[in-house]
Amino acid sequence: MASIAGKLRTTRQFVNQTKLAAEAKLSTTLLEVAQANDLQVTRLYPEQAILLGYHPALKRKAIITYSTRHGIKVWYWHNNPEEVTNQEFLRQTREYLLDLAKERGIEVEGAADMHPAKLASIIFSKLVPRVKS
Amino acid sequence: MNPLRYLEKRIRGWLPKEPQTPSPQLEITRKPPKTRTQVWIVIFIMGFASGLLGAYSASFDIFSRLGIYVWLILICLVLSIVAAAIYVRKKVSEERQRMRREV
Repeated sequence: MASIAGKLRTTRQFVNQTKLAAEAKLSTTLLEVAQANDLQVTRLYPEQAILLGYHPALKRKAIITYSTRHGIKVWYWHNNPEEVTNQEFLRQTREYLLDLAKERGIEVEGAADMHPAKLASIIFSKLVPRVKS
Repeated sequence: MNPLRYLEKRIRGWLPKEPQTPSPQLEITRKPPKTRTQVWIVIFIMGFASGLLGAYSASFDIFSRLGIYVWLILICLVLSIVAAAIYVRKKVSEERQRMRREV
């Protein structure tokens, strides 16, 4: 916090207030997205920009993530993700996850060859320990 | 297979919802309605011009027989369709390039 304040030539208090304001806005956005997607909110992690939820109609767990580069994405738990065969969709998903991991400073071994569903599971569990991989 | 290894290999995880809308690539292959309207305008203008040309040639008695007059109109119409086809190809390729840039 102090180093950011030093770089921006401002006070620590101002940086802290800005961080809190950003987290509040992010929380509002994540909750709105959850509502729009008919999700029941289980837990909100504003610092990680992650919302855990549950879709009662689909009977599936869901996660909402935010990345500065790609924006908001809603994820659903898949018991058999190999059923998804759309290669372009899988490529875009992997790209999103790699960018998300890079943003948060997470390193995953063999990420390039990994199925995006598994990659997502590893990254989310590192971000939020409650999400088990 | 060892059940433990099977469970380790089995993929389970998180994926976003697969998009239901057609991909932008499919959208590009469709002819845009704007171009279709332009084609009709070009055909109409060229047809009108060919009719005028035919009428003038008849009034100046360049081609005295009716058959030649009709032939002249037909040739002009064919030329207008060819010109419209070239115009359409050019417009469609321009539109595709523009959409690719946007995508």
